[in-house]
Amino acid sequence: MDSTFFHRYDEEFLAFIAAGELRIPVHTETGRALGLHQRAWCVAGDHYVQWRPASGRGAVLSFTVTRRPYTPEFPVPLVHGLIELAEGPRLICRLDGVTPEAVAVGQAVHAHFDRQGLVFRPALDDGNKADK
Amino acid sequence: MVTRMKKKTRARAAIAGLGFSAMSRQPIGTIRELAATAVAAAAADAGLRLQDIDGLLLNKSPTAEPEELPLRLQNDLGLRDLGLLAAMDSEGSTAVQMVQYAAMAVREGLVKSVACVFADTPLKGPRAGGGDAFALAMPLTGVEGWEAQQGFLGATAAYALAARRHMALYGSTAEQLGAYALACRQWAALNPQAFLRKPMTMDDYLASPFVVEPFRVFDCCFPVNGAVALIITSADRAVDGPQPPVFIHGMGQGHRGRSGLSGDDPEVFTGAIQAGQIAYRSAGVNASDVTQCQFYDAFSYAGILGLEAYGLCPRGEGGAFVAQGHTAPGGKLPVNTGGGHLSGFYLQGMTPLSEAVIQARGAGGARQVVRNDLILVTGNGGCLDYHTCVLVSPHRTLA
Repeated sequence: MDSTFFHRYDEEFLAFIAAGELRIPVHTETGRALGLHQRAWCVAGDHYVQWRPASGRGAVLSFTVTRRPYTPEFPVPLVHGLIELAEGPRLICRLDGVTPEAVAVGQAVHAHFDRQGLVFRPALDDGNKADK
Repeated sequence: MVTRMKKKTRARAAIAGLGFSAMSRQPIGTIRELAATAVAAAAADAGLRLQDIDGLLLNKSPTAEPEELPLRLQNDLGLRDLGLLAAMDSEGSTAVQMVQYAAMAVREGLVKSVACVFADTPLKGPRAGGGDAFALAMPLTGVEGWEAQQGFLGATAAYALAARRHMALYGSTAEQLGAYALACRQWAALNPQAFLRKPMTMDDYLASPFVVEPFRVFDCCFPVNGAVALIITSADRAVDGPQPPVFIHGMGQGHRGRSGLSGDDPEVFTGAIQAGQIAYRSAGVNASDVTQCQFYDAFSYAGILGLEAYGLCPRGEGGAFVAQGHTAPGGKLPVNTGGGHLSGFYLQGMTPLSEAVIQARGAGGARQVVRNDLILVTGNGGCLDYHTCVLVSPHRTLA
């Protein structure tokens, strides 16, 4: 059984990704980001919450290295991270530009886009982010 | 430290029957056929005719279609005038939930005897493994379709990510995951029903191929085709049955939810904490009264985290607890005495439930644990999202 039902929330987030932009829900009064599971604002039509561009800065909280090939679209070894964005939301994303041996918890990473969408790469240094 | 007054609970419901279909890595029939076979076997085991069953609860795998295990199983079995009928789906927590709802329905007088059945056929062909059947993306980020778009496929990756987080937070190690797998294999060696019984060393474990790091193949469950059914009835009726009754003393659920924000750590803090607290309270016991555990441990890490979440060892020390041998044969807290999901067989929530029944009956043969007084049985669905547990015992009244 492999059926995914997309709602407006998913479509909006994924449309930004398709356009090469990582946006996160932010409460415009408090300035605080919401977690990506906290979808109620979208259903309720809460106008205080809007999709705002994320800084793209994040840190690796956990990671996996997939060794068993599941699909030809994603050759192995395939590195994924659980990324905590600087604004607070967490998401799972591919890690690029780091070998399975070099990836580490705590590593600073930055959002980029490749032909498969969002990917995080090691931050070059903390002061000067490698954008785009 | 205040010692809590314990109320003595007298069980009102019990597991009176246990039935298996054939189990195999090869195709052996449809989910519906296997389910019917298991229910018939469970009824016979309980000393009941099929027409004595007046409740039926169904649990299909999240990977199967609803029509593969339809409500019409009732007619396949010739059951008439049921007082309880439902197909339930709370992923891996469902089987234990079926036992909970069946016990409540019996206690409320809706029904006398409820059959609860799980059936699955994840292995479709002669050379198929379990990895393909369970390769569906788990929705962990909060945006539908995200994990599939990212190539983050399968329960193995989801649990591996959680395990690595535990390693990062608490310093648990690959060898501790290995110790869990080895303990399960030791138990499986004593269980004729287990599928992986060949002795395994730490070197064997460490040399086994990675599936999704940090998980090696021996960190992952061993899926089979098959079905298991239980008969739940009143404690009074169970006492008159042909099998030693397995009394149901306490139950709990915990479905914690996720925010996806910093500070929320669903990889290590789960609803199992709440499920356990509610179950212990309802049975009038403490975690320290548990004498053995039958965990839903589709991955080694789930078993290790279960020890922590259910209060059986300090937070972060599940791996060390296992590495000290406490969960292995001869240890102070036997866990998954049939080999569990890793070395026994993976039929989701029915693997721990069936082993709990066997242990509570004293029917475990070479693997029987003398201290079977209070057995914790757990269910776990999603990626550590949906938790259920029951406390069962051969004793109707807990001391």
